[in-house]
Amino acid sequence: MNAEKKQNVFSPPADLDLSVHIGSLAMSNPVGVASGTFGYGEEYDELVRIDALGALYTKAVTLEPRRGNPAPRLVETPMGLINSIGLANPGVEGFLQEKLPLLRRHRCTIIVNVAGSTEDDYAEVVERIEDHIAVAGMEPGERSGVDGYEINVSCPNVHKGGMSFGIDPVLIGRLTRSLKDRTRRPLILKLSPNVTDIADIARAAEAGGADAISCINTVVGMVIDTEKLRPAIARGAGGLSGPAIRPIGIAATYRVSRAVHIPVIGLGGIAHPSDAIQYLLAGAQAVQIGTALFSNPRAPQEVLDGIIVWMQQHSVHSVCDIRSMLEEPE
Amino acid sequence: MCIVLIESLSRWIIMRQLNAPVVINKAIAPNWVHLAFEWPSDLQEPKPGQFFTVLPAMVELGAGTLLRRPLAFAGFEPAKQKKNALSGKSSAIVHAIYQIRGPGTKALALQAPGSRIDVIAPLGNSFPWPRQGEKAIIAGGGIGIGPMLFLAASLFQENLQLGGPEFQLVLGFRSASLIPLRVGFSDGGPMASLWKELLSRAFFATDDGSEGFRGTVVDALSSLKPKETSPEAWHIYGCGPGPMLASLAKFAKTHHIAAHFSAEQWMACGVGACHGCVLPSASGDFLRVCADGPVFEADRIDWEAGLR
Repeated sequence: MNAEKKQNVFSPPADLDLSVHIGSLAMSNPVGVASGTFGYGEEYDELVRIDALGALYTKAVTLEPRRGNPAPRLVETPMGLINSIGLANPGVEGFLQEKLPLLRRHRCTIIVNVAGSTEDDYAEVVERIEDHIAVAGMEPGERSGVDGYEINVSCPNVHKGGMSFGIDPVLIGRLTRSLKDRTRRPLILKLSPNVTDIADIARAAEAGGADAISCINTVVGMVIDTEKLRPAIARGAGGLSGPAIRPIGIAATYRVSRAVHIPVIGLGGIAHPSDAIQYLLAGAQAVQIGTALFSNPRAPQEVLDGIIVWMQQHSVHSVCDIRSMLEEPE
Repeated sequence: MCIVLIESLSRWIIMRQLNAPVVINKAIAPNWVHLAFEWPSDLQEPKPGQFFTVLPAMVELGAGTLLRRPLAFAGFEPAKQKKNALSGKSSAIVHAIYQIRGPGTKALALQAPGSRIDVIAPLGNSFPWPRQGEKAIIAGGGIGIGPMLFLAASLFQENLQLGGPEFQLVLGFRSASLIPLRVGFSDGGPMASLWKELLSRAFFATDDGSEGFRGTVVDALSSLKPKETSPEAWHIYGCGPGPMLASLAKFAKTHHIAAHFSAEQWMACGVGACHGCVLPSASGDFLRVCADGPVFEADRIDWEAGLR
């Protein structure tokens, strides 16, 4: 381990309870890294102390391998980033063979993000992962590498599935129930902000048996190149992330956490401790850091350190108590 | 044990996020800036073709840049016994050349020597060395000359010591007035002097014919080829605008010349995680510029398709 990395090593004060409980799962702290921004953990291994993360949400896994969308896939916007990656991933078999053996070496909570075009796609990915773990013949105490699933029903960058599930409460309810039948691990539904009322979708997920809600995925956006006379990214519109969408994420978290009884995991534009604390005050029990990692791979550790300092300054003992501290608006 | 060893060998490049002291940050041509910063003694030295990302400090209200900027290394000075006249220190120094294009590079240009920049380095792969008997044709266009100067400098220094491979720099500019380190732009220390020396030996192509060959780098290469006794022993190295690389790839393919190019694409994470900076491969797949490159064998990429 090098000197710069050593600075990140810390142990939380003993009198603070940083743990987060999602269904049967306990995360060591509330700060995770968001799906699609952290790969399957390998790429950031040299820059981030992965074991210290509250949770690692993997890049989406689909049934078949996907090459992803044509280039260019990215464009920067004021305090934001539009992407249209198109769920490029090695498919569930590639994930199980190539990625999972490396993932399971980490001590942090690992949540596998699942995406699909049809209800059956989602079900089969979860089934194959469960079957793999069941027959893998792990030693007692050995980690499976899969602590739960985050169901991506909100990707704006694929033609079929993705967001079309995320905007329909009936489909969400059915999908959640179907996946609940296939795993005992916690199911987290990741919702899109591109809907009329995100609370309706959250309630449908809860009714279907979801253990938590991740709130929010990217906001549909577009940039047009005024010289080339076409959108800046090849597919036209993409998903906007980064600090630009933070107020949208906080408002959604506030609304969803009052509509459901299951935990809410807040994300969207978190770069600094105060951003994360806003989400926790709005009603989230945990947070994820995504786009900010690209600018500063130290952001997860800095955010966690800042939450601890803030908790000490405000004499809060437990992370899950933060949500009750918000003074409700008139 | 064996597996551990193999794994550690395949991942021996260790990148790091550092707060590097700026040594030089001064103009060397209109809107072109020479950046140099201190390099930690315990970090593997960068190779020609590799790059780093830098986080520009926000200076302009509402400019709102978010992402790190990828910049290619353009030179490396190892640590010295003697203190460096510019930095007052004896540490190693790395160099880059960037163009002020938008709010991010504009902010970077305002960093004073002595201030610190947030850098992640070294990133990506590097140019393979020419094989025995090959002559390196080092082609750079516009701001793409940075990594080519680094490659040329490495071969030049190897030549001085051991009689290393022969090379020829072929550089393309829109006009002579854009060639760096000309009148009005004084040099900044030993690296800029070395660049100046290399530039004095370079073959130039300018769009307006104001210096050297009138036309593109590829036109210039076509004109050079007949004069060479054995052009088939060329190894072309390239970095520059998309259209230049596309036509250079075609040229190399037509004449059966080995070629490696350093590619450019909009980038977010810089470490291979986000799959944002892809280019279409010749086999219909997508390759990440940051982690699969930035140096690619020319015929591995569909440069034409990558032009949009």
